[in-house]
Amino acid sequence: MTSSFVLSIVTFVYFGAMCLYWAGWVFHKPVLSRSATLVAVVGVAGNLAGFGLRWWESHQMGMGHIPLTNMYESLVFFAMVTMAVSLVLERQYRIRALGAVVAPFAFLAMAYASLKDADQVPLVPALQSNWLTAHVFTAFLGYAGFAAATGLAVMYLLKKSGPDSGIGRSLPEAPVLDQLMYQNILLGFLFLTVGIITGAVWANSAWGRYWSWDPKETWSLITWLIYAALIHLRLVRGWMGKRTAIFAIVGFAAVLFTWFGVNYLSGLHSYAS
Amino acid sequence: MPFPKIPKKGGLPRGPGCLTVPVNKEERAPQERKRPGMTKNQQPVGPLGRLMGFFASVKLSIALLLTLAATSIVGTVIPQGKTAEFYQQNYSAAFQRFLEAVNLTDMYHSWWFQALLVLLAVNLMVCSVKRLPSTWKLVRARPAGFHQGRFSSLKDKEEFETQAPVNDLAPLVEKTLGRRFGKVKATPVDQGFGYWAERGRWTRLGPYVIHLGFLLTLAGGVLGSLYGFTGYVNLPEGETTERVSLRDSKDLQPLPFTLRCDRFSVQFYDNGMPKEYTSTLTVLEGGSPAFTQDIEVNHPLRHKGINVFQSSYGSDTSAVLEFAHAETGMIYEKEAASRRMMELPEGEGRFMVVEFDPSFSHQGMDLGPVFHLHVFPKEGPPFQMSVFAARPELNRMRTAGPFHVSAKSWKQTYYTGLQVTKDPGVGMVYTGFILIIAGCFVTFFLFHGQVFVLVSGGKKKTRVSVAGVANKNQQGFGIRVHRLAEILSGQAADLEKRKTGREPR
Repeated sequence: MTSSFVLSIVTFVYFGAMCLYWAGWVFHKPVLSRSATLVAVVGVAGNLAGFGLRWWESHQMGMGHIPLTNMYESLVFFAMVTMAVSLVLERQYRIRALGAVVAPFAFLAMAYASLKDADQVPLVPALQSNWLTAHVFTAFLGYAGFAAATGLAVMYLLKKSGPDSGIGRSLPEAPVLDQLMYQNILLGFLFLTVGIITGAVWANSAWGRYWSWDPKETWSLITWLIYAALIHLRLVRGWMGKRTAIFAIVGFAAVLFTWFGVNYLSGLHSYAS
Repeated sequence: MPFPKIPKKGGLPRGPGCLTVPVNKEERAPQERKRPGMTKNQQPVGPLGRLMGFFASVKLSIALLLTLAATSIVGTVIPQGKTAEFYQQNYSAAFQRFLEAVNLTDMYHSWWFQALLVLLAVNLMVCSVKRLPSTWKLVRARPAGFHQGRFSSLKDKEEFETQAPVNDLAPLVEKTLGRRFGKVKATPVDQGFGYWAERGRWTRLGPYVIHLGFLLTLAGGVLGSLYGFTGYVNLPEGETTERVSLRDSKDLQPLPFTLRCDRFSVQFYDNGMPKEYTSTLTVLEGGSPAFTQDIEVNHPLRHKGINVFQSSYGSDTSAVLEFAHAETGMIYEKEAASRRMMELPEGEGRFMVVEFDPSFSHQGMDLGPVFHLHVFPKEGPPFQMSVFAARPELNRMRTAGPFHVSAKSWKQTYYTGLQVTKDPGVGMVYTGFILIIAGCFVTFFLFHGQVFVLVSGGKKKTRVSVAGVANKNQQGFGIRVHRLAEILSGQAADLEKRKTGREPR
């Protein structure tokens, strides 16, 4: 059984989890929500297994690098971390519906990954650095934090638009969602910061420049600036609720552009497309 | 565990303040309200006060952050730092003039983008200078201790009653509190004791650490651009250099040592992808070799503040050319490297090998390896000629001056493409990086929490109240306070059981 086979099954598992989460949310059936959680746990376990298997396969092929080196692998890692973060929050704060807004990210990431080239290729010299692992790992933890925050922002807006409606009823109170969204933004921001910095240190050891204004670098900085503004608005200007939720969604659009959109521009990160 | 209560909207202060963020009203220390140049209503006084007020405003910071984000997009859409021809080919003349006028072809180094960065730095510095003294005072102040008034004003107290006497329970509370929250201050109050403990007061300095890190990173960037350089050199095997070409200006930058490339090699994977580029470099000082080191991508050579990076490679062909005088039959040999001006024998002029073509074809005929020469004879105009390495008979057709030229032997040599940099700002930038990461961690995930416990008793019953307050993450701290109350309640029950021999009600 190959890792790409395992991971393509995981795609369907996430799809199943997503549907169950939605059904449980809309129909207020705890049994559906509980099974959604179970399916999501299976999905993350399978995702982790696929990740580990791919790593092992890479060793078998004499390359032996952690699978964090191209678009396919980053999508797989992102899906795994995002779904795991969602499950942790779900357990800790008893928000069953969270999976309904976060599982789509995991599913879409895996579905998009299946369109990407899953071939294992050895690393070109520039990528042979421990900084690569640190850089991709932290950057995608950051993306996962932002994805969870975006899911929570959507939930917040739904709750606000109809606290007692069919879909609003089973959601936690708005202030709880608001606070959780903010916590995830802080988590995402910390890891994005570490991701940018490890990237800079790596660039300095590979090319002798820690910052070159390459489009991907610049877009990561743009994302960073947007979230930095959001954090200041909240901490010092007292922004809460709807405004921060909308801001968080805009911030995630910048995350997505940093990840995907930049590949349509040229630059140093060509191997990440 | 139920989700803890979250303070309702409006708990956060608004206003021009920055950096320190008291969450609750009682959290706000009195000295934080006094600011130089401000009246009680926080209105700036005088032109200087107004200027300070402008630079210290968080509105400005947020406006700058968002402006930097928005303008940065432009440089990712319009390719930066290309040649004039590139812009001519891709854009209309009018648009080109616009790009030139607002420096959009190199916008990140333009005066206006740099001005935005400087403004942000000034904004940060003014903010910090203004706010640090009060935060510092708060951090360095004597521990507050239990204060009845503050305790009473706290919301969400956890309370329980026990029959254990105050004097037995009090030391237990002090011990437990001390174990979970650090140093405890005890204050005798009416019919009992008040206890106060705190943790993480220093974490209020977190935002300053981030901002200092950010300023250091910017300052390091300025230092690097003022006193550093980025250059490159193509160094053939066996050759030395004492200078490199600069990336931006094409000027030559002398190095404080001589660099020699002893060997260059490329390793490939089975599928033909490059695996590793390796250059063996020797550093020479005062003409004698100081040390030799292999460099690879990601493993540069660092010496005397200069960094040498493996950047690219290529190959050159050098040839031993034979010059036979058409009349006298004299034969000369010359070793010729590519693109280097050489003297023709007998002072007949100069020549240069401009290109080596390993398989030259002419009108569909493969003529084998060929050297293309530019010849500059002593008299007459310069011209081009080809030297056929495998078809010597073709070389009889032309002469360079009075000479027939043929290729006696040739070899391909590799050159290594080295990026050579000097950046005295890197240490400062890296220090900034560490401060930013540490500061973010402290600011986001640690907090200043204070916990109050009041143990007071009448004749029969002892009442214990526990309350906590934190400058942020109030609900996270609430969980801990709740846990403390649970433990204390359990301890009180044990004590009661031992004293009375009965299960507590």
